[in-house]
Amino acid sequence: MIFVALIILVICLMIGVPVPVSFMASAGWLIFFGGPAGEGYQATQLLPYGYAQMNSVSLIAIALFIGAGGIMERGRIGEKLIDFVDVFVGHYKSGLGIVATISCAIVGSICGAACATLSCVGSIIFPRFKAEGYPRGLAAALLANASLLGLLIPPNATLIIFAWISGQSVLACFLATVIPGFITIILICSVNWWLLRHNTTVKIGEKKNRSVTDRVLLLKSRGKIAVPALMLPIIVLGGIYGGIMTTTEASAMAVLYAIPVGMFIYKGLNLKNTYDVIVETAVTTGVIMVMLYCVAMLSRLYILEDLPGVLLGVFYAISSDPLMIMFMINIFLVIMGMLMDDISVVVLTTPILMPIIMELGFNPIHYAAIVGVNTGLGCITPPAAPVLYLSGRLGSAPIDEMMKPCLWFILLCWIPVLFLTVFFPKLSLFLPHYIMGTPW
Amino acid sequence: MSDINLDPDNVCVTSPECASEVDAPKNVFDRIVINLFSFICFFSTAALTIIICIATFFRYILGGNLYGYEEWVQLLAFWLYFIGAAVGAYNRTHVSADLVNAYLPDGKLKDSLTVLKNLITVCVTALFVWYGYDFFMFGFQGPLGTGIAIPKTSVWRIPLWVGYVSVFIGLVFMLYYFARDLVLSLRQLFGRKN
Repeated sequence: MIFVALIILVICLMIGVPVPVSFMASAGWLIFFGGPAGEGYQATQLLPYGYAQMNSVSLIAIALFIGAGGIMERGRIGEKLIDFVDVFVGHYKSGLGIVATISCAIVGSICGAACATLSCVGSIIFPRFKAEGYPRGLAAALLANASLLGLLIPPNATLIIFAWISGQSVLACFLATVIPGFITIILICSVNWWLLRHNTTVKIGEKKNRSVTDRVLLLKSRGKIAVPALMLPIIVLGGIYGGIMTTTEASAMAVLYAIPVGMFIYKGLNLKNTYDVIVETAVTTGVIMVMLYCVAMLSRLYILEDLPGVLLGVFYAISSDPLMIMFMINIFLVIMGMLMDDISVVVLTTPILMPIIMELGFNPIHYAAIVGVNTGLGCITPPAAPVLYLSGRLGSAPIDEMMKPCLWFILLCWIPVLFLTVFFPKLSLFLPHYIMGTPW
Repeated sequence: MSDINLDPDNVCVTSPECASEVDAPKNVFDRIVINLFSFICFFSTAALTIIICIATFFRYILGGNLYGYEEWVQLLAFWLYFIGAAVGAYNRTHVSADLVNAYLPDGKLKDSLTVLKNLITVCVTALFVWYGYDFFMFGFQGPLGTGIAIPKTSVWRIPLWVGYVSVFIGLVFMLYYFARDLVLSLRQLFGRKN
């Protein structure tokens, strides 16, 4: 019966049934025909189970980080951050690419969702790319890749969901992706420089002539303007990693801080658009949370049907080497990432794969980092690469112009980082071990 | 959140723009429902932010504890989640990986698949609306179905059905807007020439 439930899930997803309803459909089949003798399960226990699972204060952080991301975008907070980063590297030929990458990492660390980061940074930086003569395909591919840094530089919604489903420490999961995240930043900036090395269209204009004195003056003036914006990541990251606030409390503080900054200092917000942005982000939250509610119900049924055991049997039939099985899991995650968005992949695969990871003896915190990198890779790999398509639209770049640079970013950034994360577990376990004392 | 639309020129993604791209409600019923739901979403988010910030202030600055605040924030969170999801159904921003539809050319086959998709969506949601009603009634009437021993939170004694009803209402309105999409797709299928 579990195979029929899986087939129902796949068919529903393929024909475009909304993901939460696809989960419900698969669960519905098991309610009627699941169980050892096909007697089904008691439906009356299912909704209360999902409710009990969702009744968690830590999940509220997702809602509030999404809200903070929306407010940052409308409140022109992101714009001031970008101007500030520009002072340091804007005068280099590939400097704007570095500005975009670092800005995506900072903004992504607060709003925690790739598309929100992309629309926040992209709306500001694409006109600047155009003005400097960046090839539009490269600019759009670069921003698509950089916006995924929010999946690696914590806090982010994907890892909160992963930690919630797998029962791991949220902070440990956050720390696991930090080093892979920084390696990705360096690689993206390097690949951008390498792709531009023979380019003649990029003109950085007067920025090239900035003397040290000019840069210091610019740093002073832009730094002064950017201080309120820079305080936001300091409050969020400092609050969480300093042990002062929980993730949920930091997310609430981010919203509470961002509204007056966006409204009274940067004047991007007024009462009307503040109301609108909060409603819009609430809808985004609702859509994600109902998906989580449904997966909580479905994963319980899948566990009762011993789906992880069945899958492990399939893996063992191919190879008994844990690293080989991990390799297959990675391929599976990338394929899932090619078909769905990051949160859907985590929601769908974590309850099924987590027991297998534990059974194989891998550290679950190490797996959190692998999931982070894998979902990032999947999000920019067609056919379903929402981040790539959005970037193309924001940057007015046709998809064929984006594909070649994007492929370079995949080959030279994401695949090496994935390889390092999978085969060098200490890379992701180092920070959780030294800061929180988690086992290697 | 969003449809994962494969057409690069028509992408709706996880961003605030996604919701704002949607037309404002045209008929009176939708206008009332969506405006009311939008206000609930705004109120829930604002209240969650304020309560959590006050609790943080109490804990770290005053060294005290905001007694049982988790019960209020969890309740508000469920209203935010399910009412937000109902507006998401109105906006058609629920996540979906529409692969077959994206690769098929316009025509009868594509329209038929859209009808099938919407039909499955409506039937499955209707089933869970029924379960949602049972769930709400369990909280409202208590385990014995007599209105005695209604389950309540431990600190503030808030009846649990206040949270359960948000699940039921959210599912009902999701069903309503999914049914709207089904009707529209049926009209498209049978109204098409050729």
